[in-house]
Amino acid sequence: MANRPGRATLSRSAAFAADVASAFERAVTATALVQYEYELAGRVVRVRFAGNALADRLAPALAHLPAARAAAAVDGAVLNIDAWDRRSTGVAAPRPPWSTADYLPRERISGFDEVRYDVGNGLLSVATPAGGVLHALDAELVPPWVVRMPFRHLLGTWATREGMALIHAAAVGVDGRCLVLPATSGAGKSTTALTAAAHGLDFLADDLCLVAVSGPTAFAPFALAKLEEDAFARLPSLRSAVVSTTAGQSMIAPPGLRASARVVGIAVPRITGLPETQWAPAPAHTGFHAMAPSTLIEGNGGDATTMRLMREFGEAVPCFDLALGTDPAGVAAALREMVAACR
Amino acid sequence: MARYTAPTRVAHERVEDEVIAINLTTGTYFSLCDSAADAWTLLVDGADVAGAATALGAAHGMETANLITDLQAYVVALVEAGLLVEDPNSAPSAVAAPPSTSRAYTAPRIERYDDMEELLLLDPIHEVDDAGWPIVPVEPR
Repeated sequence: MANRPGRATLSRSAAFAADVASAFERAVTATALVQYEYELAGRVVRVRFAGNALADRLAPALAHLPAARAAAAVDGAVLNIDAWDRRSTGVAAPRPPWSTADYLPRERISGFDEVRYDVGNGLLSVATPAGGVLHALDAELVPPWVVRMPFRHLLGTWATREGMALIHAAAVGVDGRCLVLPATSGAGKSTTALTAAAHGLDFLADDLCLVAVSGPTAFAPFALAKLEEDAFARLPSLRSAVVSTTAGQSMIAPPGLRASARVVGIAVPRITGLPETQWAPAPAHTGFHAMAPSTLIEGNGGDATTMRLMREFGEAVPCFDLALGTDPAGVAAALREMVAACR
Repeated sequence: MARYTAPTRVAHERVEDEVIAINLTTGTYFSLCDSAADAWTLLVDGADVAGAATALGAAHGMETANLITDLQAYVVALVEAGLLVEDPNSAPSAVAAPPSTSRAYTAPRIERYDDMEELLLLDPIHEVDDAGWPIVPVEPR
């Protein structure tokens, strides 16, 4: 067995990460190991749960990913994610080495760049060189956006190490060619993506899209999307795709889910309230402005390298302004036109 | 004269005539356009205020002396915003021409966006126990 560094030689961050990893192992001992191995963007993603409680909540969002081939047959480093909850396993997270004065906005902790802690929802995420660990207080209290998009901090951190970016964007396409639609929350990403899916376009993402700058290629990291109740009036066919509904927001298993597609353009959506959808070429900085701040600020596990990758991505494909109309068929038609207009 | 660098927690990139700079700790981000983008690029590439003024003046056919005051105010604003810090170890470097000269010079200014920060402040912060972990009432199932 390899020698491990003594605790005295570990930084506070590394010591805490080691304690969290030990707690996960105790949780597995107390329950059972539930393991999945997926393939995402040509890499292996290995997710280990302690028991079924959290697995039952989070694994469905990854169910579209194919089972991994042998690790040696894929390109990049294996992403190892461990996850457990306190309620079902009886194993608590280790005492945090920071004080309550160290809490920063957006789940950050001063002096612990690799940690995200959602105080309100009791979710701790610790990124490590191998991947990371997620701890929840109670699997049943995990909020809907985490059920739809689990491990986003860990996936985003890993993506940057692998030369990719987990971008705050929707992605839709036609025949293996897609548009990435970056925007901050509330700008119409989810509704646009599901409108496209309901009208026969390929769906890759409604909120977070994994992009490999080389190519560039977009990957669907998650199998679930969200739709507000009022949108069903315009997209009634999606009623049959509802998985669950909480507080007026439904979780959707989107039709036309596609694992990956070549990115041919960036379309920045904005809601106009007018019936007709219009689109026009836009300068590259429009797309970069739409994706960089919201991606890096909203807790998706990125840093300055992620920002450079997004710049390179933004410069690699044409950018469009997408003025969203209220007619769903018009939105879908405009998206098809844009894909066709891109080489 | 002093030279400057961006702190490690500030991510910044330039696309065309706009620089986006993000303070990763606070969630505030900034847009620096046209002359502001050029001045930023010159400063983070190692120019001092005089060097940046000389380069911008040459590009726009303006007297350097007329630009010094603008750039001094700009640097003060960038430092106050936490986007630049003085770099005592920086050695003088050759000053390149500014990247874009197609537009007329305007006094550089910072556009600050706190909308993300406002979103952050809406995050629910619950009571925490002595160990720093949140208190979650356990209700009977």
